[in-house]
Amino acid sequence: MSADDTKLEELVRWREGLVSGEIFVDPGIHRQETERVFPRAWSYLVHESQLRQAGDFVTTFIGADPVLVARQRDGSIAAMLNSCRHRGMAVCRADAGHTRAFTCPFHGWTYDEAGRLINVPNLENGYRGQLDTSAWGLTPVPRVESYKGLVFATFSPDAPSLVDYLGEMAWYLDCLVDRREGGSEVTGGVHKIRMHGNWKLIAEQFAGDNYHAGITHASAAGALADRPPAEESAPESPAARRAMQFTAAMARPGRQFSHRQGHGVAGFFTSDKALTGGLRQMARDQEVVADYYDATDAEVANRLGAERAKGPSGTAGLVFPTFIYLAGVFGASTIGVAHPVGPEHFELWRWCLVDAAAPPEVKAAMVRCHAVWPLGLADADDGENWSAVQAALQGPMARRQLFNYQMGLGLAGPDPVYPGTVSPEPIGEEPQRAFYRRWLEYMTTPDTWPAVAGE
Amino acid sequence: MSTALDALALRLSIEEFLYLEAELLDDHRYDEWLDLLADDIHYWAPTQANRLRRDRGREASAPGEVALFDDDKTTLGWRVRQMGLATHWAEDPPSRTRHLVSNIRIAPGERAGEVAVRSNFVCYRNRLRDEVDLWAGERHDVLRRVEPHGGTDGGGPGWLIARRTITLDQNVVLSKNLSVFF
Repeated sequence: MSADDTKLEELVRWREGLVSGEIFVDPGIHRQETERVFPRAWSYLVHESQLRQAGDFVTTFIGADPVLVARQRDGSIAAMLNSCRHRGMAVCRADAGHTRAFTCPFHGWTYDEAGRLINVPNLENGYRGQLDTSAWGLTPVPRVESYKGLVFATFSPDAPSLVDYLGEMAWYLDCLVDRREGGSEVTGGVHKIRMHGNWKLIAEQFAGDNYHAGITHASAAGALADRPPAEESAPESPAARRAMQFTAAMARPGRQFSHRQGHGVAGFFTSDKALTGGLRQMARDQEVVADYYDATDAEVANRLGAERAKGPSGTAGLVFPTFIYLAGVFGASTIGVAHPVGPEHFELWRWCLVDAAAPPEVKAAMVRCHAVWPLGLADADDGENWSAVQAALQGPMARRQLFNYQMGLGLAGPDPVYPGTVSPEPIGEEPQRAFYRRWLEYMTTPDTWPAVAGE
Repeated sequence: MSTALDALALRLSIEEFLYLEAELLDDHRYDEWLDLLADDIHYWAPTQANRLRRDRGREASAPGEVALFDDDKTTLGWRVRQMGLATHWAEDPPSRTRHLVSNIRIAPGERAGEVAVRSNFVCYRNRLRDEVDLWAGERHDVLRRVEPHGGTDGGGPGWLIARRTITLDQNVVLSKNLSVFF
């Protein structure tokens, strides 16, 4: 173990539920993340429904690396670095589209949709025909695998398969992506926003932070209530009381799921008809969605089992390191990825996920719900949290603090109903501890796939 | 001559209306701003993608796709109510904003009593100690003429916003939220 590894062990004391602020600001730690975490973990790339025909492409990132993803003529999906082998320039600067070839604007090296080098200007005169074009294709991301429409990739030759990597997380993901025959698809368009905050702040939040919802999103919930604004503004106002009531409502029977690979399900209620509770009173779009959930409830229960038609169908989750989702929250499901942008920022890219078999008017209602609540009312206050954390941690004394991740310490274990490591409360911090435990293993393993150590 | 004067009067009336709207937003008088919106308003801001030139015209997300705003009067009412809540941490302490509206172009509307108005905007936001956001874009509005209500304040502004489509000139939204109206 190197001196740096020892330092990291002191900064992330997951057994005790203690994490130092240094890991959210230190540029050296971030550089190490870009080398040790993102290229090796399975990173989310794209939903299959975004690449319907051969030649359809999107551009994205794996950690700090720019990546081009394209549908191949054989129907498979390939990913490669979006960086020309001649001088490194991005060969594609559009977000998405359809093409037969990617031509580097710098010197004209041209690649096909599989990344093969198919044209080099001045090949005969300049290189005297000696350039082995077969050796100079775009650098491939060697492993691309899908789980029910969700496409992930890794540069690691010795990572487990995607299905093994997901493990029991797949059981929970099915509540999102496999509700009905035909699976799921994303609607058109992607919402991209640059947040001032370290990427781990959002990763750990989706993995396990059901705790914040009642306070951070008190106004997003309170805004839906039919009260005149005037009575809401004073301290100790009805709004503040309602926030406390909302928090109290969060204290119903429920569970959290955490996974040894760092994945988590932030918390769900076990007794609810989770998806339609409260929706129907809100507005027309929410009512359309509530009707749809009710109409498909029996089908989902028949397909996935009654226990999955309820709680885990309405919650947040994380696939380590940066794939996030919200399943059935206020009338919409969201999938997204949080790309790190240096230690101080991340970019959140989100799509609206719908059942492929849903009627068009339901999909339309869901995409409007998606814009209004998660991306509108709720987002605003999350952004304020992350930027204020990041600003506070600029001070050396502030960032040396060890933060408290101790809620529910020692409570997690097997559950008679829900698979994997499960906490007996819907609010706790076991998934965050599991996230940082796994993060530490990546960070302290230099070359090979980081082993999952025993207790 | 009267046609030119009519056009000038129309322009003045619309400019005055849009400046009033900007004033209400910058003064945080959101309930009064909501009163400027028609009950059937669609308030929509598509996302803006980077597309190849041959795909020009496909930058903006289409109706029914993911958007920055996709609101009706009810959901705008939610956003306005949130602004007034003591637990809306993103706007407490409140941000300072300044809406600048220009390049106003007026065309006939598709329906009687309506006009199609395009305007450019810059919105500057300053928040807490040193946070600054700058948004620029264009709005395509449908304004609907309404009779002044004739109350003691001398009547309403004479227009309602029946539709607003906002082109925000950013691919990635570069502010940590859009807790603002354009």
